[in-house]
Amino acid sequence: MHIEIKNLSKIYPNGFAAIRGINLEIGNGMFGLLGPNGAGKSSLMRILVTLQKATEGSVHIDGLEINANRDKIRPWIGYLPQDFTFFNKLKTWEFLDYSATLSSLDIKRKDRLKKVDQLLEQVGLLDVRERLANKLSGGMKRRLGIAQALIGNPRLLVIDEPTTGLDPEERIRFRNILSDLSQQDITIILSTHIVGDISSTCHHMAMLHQGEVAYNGAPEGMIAEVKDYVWQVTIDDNEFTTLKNRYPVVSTIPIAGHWETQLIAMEKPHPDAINIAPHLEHAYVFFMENKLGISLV
Amino acid sequence: MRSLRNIWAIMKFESKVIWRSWFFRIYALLQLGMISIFSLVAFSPVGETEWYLYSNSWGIPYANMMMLNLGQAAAVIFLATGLMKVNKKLDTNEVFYVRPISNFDLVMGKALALIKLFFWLNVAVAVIGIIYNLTNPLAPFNLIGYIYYPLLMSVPSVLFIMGLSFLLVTVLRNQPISIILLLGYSGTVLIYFFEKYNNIFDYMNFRLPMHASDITGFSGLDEILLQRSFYVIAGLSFLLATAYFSNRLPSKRIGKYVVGVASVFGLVAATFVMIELWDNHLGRYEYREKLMAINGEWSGKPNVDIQKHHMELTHMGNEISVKSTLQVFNDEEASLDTIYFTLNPGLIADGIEIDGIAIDHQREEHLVSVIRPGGFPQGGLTFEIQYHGSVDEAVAFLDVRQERFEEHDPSFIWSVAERYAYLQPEFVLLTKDLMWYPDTRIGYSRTSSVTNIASFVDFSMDIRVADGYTPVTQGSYSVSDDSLTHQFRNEVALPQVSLAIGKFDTKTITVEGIDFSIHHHPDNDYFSEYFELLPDTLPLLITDLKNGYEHEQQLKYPFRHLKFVEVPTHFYAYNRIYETNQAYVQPEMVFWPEKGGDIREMDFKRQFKRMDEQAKEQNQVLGDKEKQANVFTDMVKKVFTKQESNRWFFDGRNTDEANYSLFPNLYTYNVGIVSEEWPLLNKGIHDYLNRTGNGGYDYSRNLEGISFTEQCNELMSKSNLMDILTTEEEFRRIQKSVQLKSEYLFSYIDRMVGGQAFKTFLYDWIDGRQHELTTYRDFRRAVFEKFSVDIDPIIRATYFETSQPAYVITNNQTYEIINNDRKQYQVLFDVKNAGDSPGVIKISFDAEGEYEGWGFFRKRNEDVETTDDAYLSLLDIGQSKRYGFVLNSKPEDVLINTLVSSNIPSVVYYSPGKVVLRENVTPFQGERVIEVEKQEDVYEVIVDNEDPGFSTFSPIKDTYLKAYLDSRQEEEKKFYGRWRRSSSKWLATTGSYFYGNSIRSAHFTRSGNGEKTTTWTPNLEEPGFYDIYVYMVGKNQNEGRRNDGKYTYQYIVNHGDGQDNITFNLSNAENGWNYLGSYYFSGGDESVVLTDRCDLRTVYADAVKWVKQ
Repeated sequence: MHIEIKNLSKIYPNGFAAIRGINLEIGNGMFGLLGPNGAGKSSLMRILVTLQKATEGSVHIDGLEINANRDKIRPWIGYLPQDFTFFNKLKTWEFLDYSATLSSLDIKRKDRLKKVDQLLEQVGLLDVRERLANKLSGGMKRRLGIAQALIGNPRLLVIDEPTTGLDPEERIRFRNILSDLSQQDITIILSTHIVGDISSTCHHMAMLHQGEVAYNGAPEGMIAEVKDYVWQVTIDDNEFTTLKNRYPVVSTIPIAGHWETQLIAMEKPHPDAINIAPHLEHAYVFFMENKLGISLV
Repeated sequence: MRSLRNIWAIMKFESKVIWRSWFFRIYALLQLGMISIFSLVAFSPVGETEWYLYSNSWGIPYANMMMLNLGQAAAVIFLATGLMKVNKKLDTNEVFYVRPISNFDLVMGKALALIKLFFWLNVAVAVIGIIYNLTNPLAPFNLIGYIYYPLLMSVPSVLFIMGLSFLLVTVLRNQPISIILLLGYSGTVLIYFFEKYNNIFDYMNFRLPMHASDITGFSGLDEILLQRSFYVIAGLSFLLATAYFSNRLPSKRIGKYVVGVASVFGLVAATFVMIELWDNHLGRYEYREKLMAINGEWSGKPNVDIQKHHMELTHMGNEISVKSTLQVFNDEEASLDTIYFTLNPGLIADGIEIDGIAIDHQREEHLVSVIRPGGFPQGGLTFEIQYHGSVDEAVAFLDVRQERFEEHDPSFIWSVAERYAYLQPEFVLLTKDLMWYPDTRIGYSRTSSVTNIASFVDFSMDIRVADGYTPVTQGSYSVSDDSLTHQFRNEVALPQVSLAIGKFDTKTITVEGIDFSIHHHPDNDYFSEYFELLPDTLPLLITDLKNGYEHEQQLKYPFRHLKFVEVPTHFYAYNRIYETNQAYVQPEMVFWPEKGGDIREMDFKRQFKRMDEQAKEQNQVLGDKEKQANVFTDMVKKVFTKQESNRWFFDGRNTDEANYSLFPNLYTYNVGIVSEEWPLLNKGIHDYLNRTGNGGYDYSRNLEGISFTEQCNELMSKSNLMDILTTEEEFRRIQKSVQLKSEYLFSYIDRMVGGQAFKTFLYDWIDGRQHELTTYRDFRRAVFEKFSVDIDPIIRATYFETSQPAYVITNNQTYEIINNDRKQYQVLFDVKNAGDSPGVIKISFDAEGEYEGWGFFRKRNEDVETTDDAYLSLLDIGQSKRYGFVLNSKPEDVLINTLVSSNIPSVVYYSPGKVVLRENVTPFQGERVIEVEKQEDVYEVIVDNEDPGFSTFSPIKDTYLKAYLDSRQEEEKKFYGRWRRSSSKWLATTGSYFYGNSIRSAHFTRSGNGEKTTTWTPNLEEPGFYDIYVYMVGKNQNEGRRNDGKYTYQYIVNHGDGQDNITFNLSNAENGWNYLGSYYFSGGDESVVLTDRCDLRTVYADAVKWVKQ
């Protein structure tokens, strides 16, 4: 699948410009959308899943303009929105069955129910199939959300902030599901402000800021830009206060009355500081501070 | 296809979600529980179920569906707005919206989800109904009813309110506001609009008449379907509009426009249906106005009288074809230019011949006129009029105002359409009000009153009907030689004829030369089994009943037949100002309602049960035959001869309640007075001569504070009767005023000519003029010749006078005397006419014994005193009279009916209480004028609750709701019914047991803890010791509770020496003045106070008297 986003803008009636002239190309596999809250990720996703129209620009999926070909494109899409609750009174399997019935699956009831159970098994919810969907835990709900998004055999899976609020175990579990899915012939667009979700699952990503694309490429490319600027130093309280006020701190770990601190700096910030290998989170902070001019100090 | 699958899927899962919601489950459970209990009480043989509730096979499904429909309309509002509300921008539904579904799919799916649930709820209600229906062996079962009513009632109501709810919540995007608006709308429709404008706005089908008959099915089905289709189309249009306005699913523009255009088309179609409904409503009104205008135009024109009328009638489905041969007579002084007939506009006059020669005619709606060059000379002519067609019911009862004409009389919780005629394949019912045969009388117009009877005609009829059908009309019946024609010949002239055709079974019995017959639908013989032991004794019973009735009325039944014809439940007739009776009673004929309708005395199962209970209470043992005879007699006396009546009634409640009294057959259909000057005269004589059983106890005073009679008296003190007739006054008030004035008029004339002479004159006059009419001129002359009294000025004064007498009744005393060695009772009282008009009073007694001179003992009846044997007395303005009566037994009550007066109560009664023997007293019987009023030799001051010295105090404020409701009262009421029992105020009420001059009133309140008080402050001119008396209701105040001495009133006397609290034991109280105590009063700020502390529910404050020692 090939998604081409050209000069896309979305301005709401109150004048707020959520997206400003975005250009992106997305192919198969996992694609991460990173950005702080209000960056325009959810608006972009809702446009991609045909829930709202762009003010300007176009989105083509496999060469088809989405608004003109909504009926053709919708069966290709699976969507898991950010704020996702369930019908109070539907059981887990019923909820999935409802999704299946509304999707473009043209199969008999028996096969549909079989597929429902397969998906429940895939996301680890078969044991709770009779439980009311709104009684599931947060992680289970997310997994059920993924299951409903997958029920129609989508070619494009759009997932908005899926791991927000999940405990580490559920988050890892969820990432594993996404990783498994990414092996299939499917495009997954994952929107998040949690850097770890992108680094552990995506080979391509874009970073949005104030409705514009701040970075577009592989996560490794973004990490490469921060090489030589990530430092680690163990310091006392006074020094920590001084450095904290000068450089963006990425992490601090207290060790025997001192602080093991990782920070971003264009020059060596402390005589004892050593250069360490960066990862995506360092790159994200570097971008925020130095490329986008957002002071994290 | 895809769309249908989506809709189906949404419907399936959304309905599952709603079904599992507590709101729906609790609602459904309550609704089903309520309907089950309701059915158990109303339709099950377990309860005290009344026959009319389940005798009609449509009744159970209709009632249950009505109960359901009101509840489900409200439930749909909550559920539908909940289904379409948008909680937040991103909600769960969005995961579905990215599926290939449209707004249309979504809306329709959700709509169907609701419909599915309510479908099953309707099925459950139908099953409940069917269970009760089948388990009641006497209830007829009709499966169609359980299908029709949900379709006609539920579907349109649910669709409409659901569509409106969807649309409103979609447009407003706010569920609470939408719910408030929708509930407000529904409430307004239910409370205010439901029966207005022909039920057009009654979307819940609360009052749209849909009760059906087992004989003729639905009535006015076209109108019902039209009204219901409006709500179906509008509901669907609203759903489409919802899909159009819904922005939740970005959809193709073309799809959106298609839905939008379909919605607009739907709304336009609904508008057309509404316009059609409105046109029908207005059209009928305008049409009736037009007919009245035509009547007005022709009413003064001279015309011929019909002497003989022969009809050859063939019934053909929805039409009749008739050849009428009329022998008419021109008794005008000159020849007539034009002769005219009235004929229902639905009947087409095919041709008219005069003496065998065809003549052209003109037609203007119901007016058929012929003009012949040279005119129509005096003498006789024979007309032959051929006509055919159907009948238009809009012509009936033009004198009934439109609002009343369009009102539907509720029966139980059903709404029943009013039909005035039937002309359909399975049933025909035609009365003269439908103008189904040519007549020379002109009906009602705004400028002329109805002439009740124009002439008595020698009617005969030859009728052809389809196989299996039987015609019933007046006269002796025979069948032609070829067995095809049913022939009816009348032995006497009649003012009108009516016709019924149906699949009748007929039961006939001949008693004393009169054929009594019952004509009923073959499946509706529910009564025979109750009287299976009676066949042998029935002739004797009927003879007794007939003779008893004739004896009581002092008039003979003048016909050789009396036919009781069963008519569908919709058949309806009105009381009318100028007519003596309703159309249920025709010459020789009574139209009784299908299976007895809601006539209590025709609910034989309950009647027998009641009789068993009464017998048990009285330790009586009644044989089966005796019971059957009693139930039969009771029915005849209460329903048809009105010799007995029910104990309680609310005067003025429903003036159109069906009246099957046979009395019109003794008077109106037998004889009558035609008067253009006094069109009410004939009705007045009818009412005057009609002796009915005592009216029972009217409780209108208990509800309204004054009785309905007094309300009408008050009305007549402001407007004369002639003005009341022509104003927009409520019909019930007009009718009552006419009745009261008639009673007054004839009581007055009766008293003027003395004793029973006038009544005897009337009976003689009726005997001498059987089956013919008299003109007023002849009647007036006859009265003058007999009594030397010209009734014309008396009638004029009665009808035009607004001034009224006001009677002050004093010095009433009753004591025992020994008269000719016999113990008797002397009753004495004084009456003064303090009003500005002379008047008549009627005096009677309620006792077990009898009076020597007149038989005027009657059961107590406070407000409607109907006895004819009461003592009448005239009192001029300012005149005082003393009345004395010597009775053989002690009267329970003395009743003084002041007729048309400003007295409240208009019928004053008092109980003599304990009586003592007085020796050496000369009995006084009769009346005498008291020239000089008795001067009191002691100084006394009375403060009544109507006097300035009386005041009330209450620290309790009304609730907001109560205050709001009170503020909506059009005018502040002076008096309130005692059943109201205010908890925050002292209110005034009226009654005989209270103190007063012409108005006897007291204040009352609900008993409390002493916070509310009343105070009597006298203006004592002389200081000194005074005995204080309080006026009390007496024993009657115990409200039916056993008087064990614990009920007390708390008085505070503020006297010259300080304050005393007095606890007055009510068990010692007598009606009248009761001694409270003796105190010194200096003439300063002193008073008697009564608090509201009492163990009885109500405390009364009336009058206090200070009598100087």
